[in-house]
Amino acid sequence: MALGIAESLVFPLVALFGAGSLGAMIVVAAPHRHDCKVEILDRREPGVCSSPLFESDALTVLRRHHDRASIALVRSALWSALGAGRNDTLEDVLARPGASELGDVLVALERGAFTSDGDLHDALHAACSALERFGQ
Amino acid sequence: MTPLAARPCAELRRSLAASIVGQEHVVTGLIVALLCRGHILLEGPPGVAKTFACRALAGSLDAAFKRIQFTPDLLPSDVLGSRVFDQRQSSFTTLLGPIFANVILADEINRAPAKVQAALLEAMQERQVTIGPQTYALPDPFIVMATMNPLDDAGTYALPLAQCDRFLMKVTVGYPTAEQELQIVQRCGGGDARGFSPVATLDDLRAWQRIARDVHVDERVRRYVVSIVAATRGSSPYVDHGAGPRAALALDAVARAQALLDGRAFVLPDDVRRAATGVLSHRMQFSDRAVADAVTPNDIIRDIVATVPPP
Repeated sequence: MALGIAESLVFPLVALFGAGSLGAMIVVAAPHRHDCKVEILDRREPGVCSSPLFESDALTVLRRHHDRASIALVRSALWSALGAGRNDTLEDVLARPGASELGDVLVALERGAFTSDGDLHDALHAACSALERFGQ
Repeated sequence: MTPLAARPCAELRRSLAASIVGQEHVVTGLIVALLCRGHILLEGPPGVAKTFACRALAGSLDAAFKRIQFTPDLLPSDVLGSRVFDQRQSSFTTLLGPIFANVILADEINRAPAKVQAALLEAMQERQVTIGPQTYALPDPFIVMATMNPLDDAGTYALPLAQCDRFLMKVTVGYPTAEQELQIVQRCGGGDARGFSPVATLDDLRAWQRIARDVHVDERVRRYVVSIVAATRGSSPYVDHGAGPRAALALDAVARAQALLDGRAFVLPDDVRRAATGVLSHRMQFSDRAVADAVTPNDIIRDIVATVPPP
C-alpha cells in the first residue's frame, strides 16, 4: 500500500519540479530581456525622392506651366514624399530624414510659392536649376 | 533665396554683436523693432545686459537718446514735460520732458505707477504728447525700449494689457553661458567697456523701414497670421484672454522684418511662426491653471501655433 502511495506521488512531484525550474528560468531571464539588441543592417537615410522620375516630372511641370500653381503642385508632391505633416513648415520639412540633399530644391520651391508676382519668373528658374543640380 | 542684393542693417548688426556678448536674439529683436517702427519690451533678471543692449543700439545710431529710470514716485510730468509760469514774461511756457527723443530707454518700466504708464500710452501709440492745451508731435523715428525684471516683484506695478499691447514684441533675456560670461568678464572686468560709435544715420533707418514695409506678404501667409492670432482666442484652458487685432498687425510687421534680415523680399510661414512667441506672449492673459501645471506662456503659444495649418 505504501508503494502504491509513493507511485501515485511520483508524477505530481516531477510536474511540480518541472514547473518550478521553468519559473526560475523565466525569473532569471527576465531582467536580461532589455539587453537584446536589434542589429541595424542599413543605416542610410531613406532616399525618398531620388528617383529620376520625380526630377523629370517636376521639371516638366515647372517648364511647361510657368505659374504659381505648378510650383505649388511640385512643392506639395515633394513634401508628401518626404512625409511632411499637415501642420509642418519648411523648417520641419528640412529637418526630416532624406531632406538634407533636397535643401536647395525645397528652399527654391518655397520662394516660388510665396514670392511676389514680379519675382515669380526668377523663382521658377531657380527652382528648375535646383532640380537639375539635384538630378546630376 | 536672396532676391535682395544687400542686407540692410548688416553694419548695425555687426556693431551690436561686437558690443553685446551672446544674446543674438536680443540684437535681432532690437533691430526688428527698429525696422517695424515698433516699441520693444526686454524682460530678464538683473545683470543680463538689457539696459546695455538698449544703450548699445542707441549709441550705434546717430539719434537723440534719453534714459528714464522708472520709480514708484515718478510723475507723468517727469516723463512728458510740464507747463511752468515764467515770471519775467508773465506767461506759461512749456518744458518738454525726456520723452522728446528718438530712442527712449524706459528702465524698469514696471516700477512706475499706473498714472505714468498711462501717460506713455498716447506717446507710444499716437507718437504725440499732450501737455496742457497743446499737443506736440514726437520726433521721427520714435522708439521706446523698456526693460522689466520678472523676479523682483516687490514694489512693482503689473503692466496693464493695454500698455503691453503697445509693445511690438517682448524679448526674454536669459543668463549667458559660462563661456560667454567668461568673455564678459575678460572684456569688461577692467571697467574699460568700449563706447559706441554711430554706424547708421536716421536717414538710413528711415530707408530700411521703407524697405521693410515693402517686403511682400502673400495673401495665404496673411491669412496664416490672422488664423494664429484668432487661435489665441480659442478654447485653450491655459488662456483667459487672447491677443487682439493689433497683434495681427504686429505679427505681420515682425515677420516682414525677419524676412528682410534673412535677405528675402518675401515672407515665409516660418517667419510668422518664429515671430509668434515674441509678438503674442505679452498680449495674452494666461489662466491660473497654466501656473498650476507649470506651463510657460511660450509653450502655450507654441502649442496654439502648432494647431494652425500653415499655407
